[in-house]
Amino acid sequence: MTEPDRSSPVLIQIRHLTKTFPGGIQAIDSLDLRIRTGEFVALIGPSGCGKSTLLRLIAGLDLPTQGQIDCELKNRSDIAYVFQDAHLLPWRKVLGNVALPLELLGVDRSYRDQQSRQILDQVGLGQLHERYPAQLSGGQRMRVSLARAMVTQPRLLLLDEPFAALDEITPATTRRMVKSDLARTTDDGIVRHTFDPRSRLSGGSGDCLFSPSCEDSFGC
Amino acid sequence: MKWLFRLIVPPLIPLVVIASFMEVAVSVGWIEPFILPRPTSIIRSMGRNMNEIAHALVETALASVIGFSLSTILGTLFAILLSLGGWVQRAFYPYAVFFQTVPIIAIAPLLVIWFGYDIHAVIASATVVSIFPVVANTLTGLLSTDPALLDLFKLYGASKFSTLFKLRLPHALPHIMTGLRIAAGLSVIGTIVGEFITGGGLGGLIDVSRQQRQIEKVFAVLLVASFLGIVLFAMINLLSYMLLRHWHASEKKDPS
Ligand SMILES: Nc1ncnc2c1ncn2[C@@H]1O[C@H](COP(=O)(O)OP(=O)(O)OP(=O)(O)O)[C@@H](O)[C@H]1O
Ligand SMILES: [Mg+2]
Repeated sequence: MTEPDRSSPVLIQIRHLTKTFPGGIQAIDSLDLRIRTGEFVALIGPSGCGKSTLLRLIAGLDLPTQGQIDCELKNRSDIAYVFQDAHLLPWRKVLGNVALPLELLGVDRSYRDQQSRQILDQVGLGQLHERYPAQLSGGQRMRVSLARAMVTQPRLLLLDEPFAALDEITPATTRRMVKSDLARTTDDGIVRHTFDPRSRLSGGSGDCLFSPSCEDSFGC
Repeated sequence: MKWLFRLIVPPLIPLVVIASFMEVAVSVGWIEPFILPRPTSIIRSMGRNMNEIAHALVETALASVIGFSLSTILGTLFAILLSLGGWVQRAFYPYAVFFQTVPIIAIAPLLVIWFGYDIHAVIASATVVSIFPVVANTLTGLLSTDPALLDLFKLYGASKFSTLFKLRLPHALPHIMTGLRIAAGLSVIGTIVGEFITGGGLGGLIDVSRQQRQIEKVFAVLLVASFLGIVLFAMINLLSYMLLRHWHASEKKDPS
């Protein structure tokens, strides 16, 4: 991936963002952050410093205590979120799991099946449509969950340590797949959050947000 | 064939042992036959009263199945209502507990006054007795949905309705099946208790035979009643296996 253009449009502008949980735990303390189109941002910091909280706020799954998040992405299909574990629906086959976001967004069946098959081929699971999640390996399950995130062709992909569960080899291929997909639809922003230094070395071309000692904008 | 053998033979062993012991104990005179009849005379009584028992069985089975179905439908709807949480749950949950704590023997006469001396009161009794486990288990299932999946549904703007049908209810299914398993046996008990009062079905037959001191007939009917409970239970187990075998740990193995 190329270094993002400094003048490319701003996708997300975060100002003085603060999140305090009931009980007075301050997860984020007046954070400022700008994410541009095509940028690859990694959030790095010790456990409990508010990385997941920030991703949830950006995704609109939780509301900030103070400050604001201006997001250019107004469509629900523009943002995707990948959790630390696969979190598939165990009663649905692989294809049904990947098609779920499109189904919830009201896309009609023939299109969503076709789209899901295509994405599954891209993550190398083309043969496994008819399997149930229980019949997959951990790494395959994780790739299904990645496919589920990609199926709406999001412009912002929020990854919450999704490679933590994978073994040494699988993440490299998965990473390549994420990137090659991005190369085609280049105006995606990725916020990827990880504490794994290897992922940073191989993936981080763009901004890295460090908070190793919790002394900057991330409050611990 | 082999699995059928494995399924049927083990439970027969204790039955044969206990029945032989009873047979010996009564014929040697350790136990009076009016307290515990000989298994062979139970069987003979069953044969003699075949027609009467079969008719009663049909009546009882009908009431049990209808009562059980009502419990399933009403209990699930009630649990969905309670799962809305907040004041709805606080307002209605105590009444769900009421169904569990109410002594059915005490309110069965009331049911007869409300529903009449017929199968309606019996069905009501079966429903009252068996609804609580459905409510409690379904509610547990509905409230234990994976928060990450709830987030996922929220992210794509899913309505409450599709979250319920595509996420909460399927997730609750194993819990619902647990509730139904308990309810199946209870609905037979509720039916028999109701029939003690109204006088029909297996319950009525037990009551009459007891009054006539036909102890072996009481036992014969009892056996048929518990057989009915086992059949209902087995049907729920089969349903559970068919619904859950692909995805839930409780049903991954084959039924043997
Ligand atoms: N719902 C909540 N209620 C109260 N406190 C919370 C809640 N969610 C998170 N916290 C607290 O907020 C802080 C930040 O949590 P967060 O999950 O964002 O950490 P993280 O940086 O993602 O850590 P990790 O790397 O371990 O995943 C932690 O101290 C956590 O205990
Ligand atoms: Mg986290």
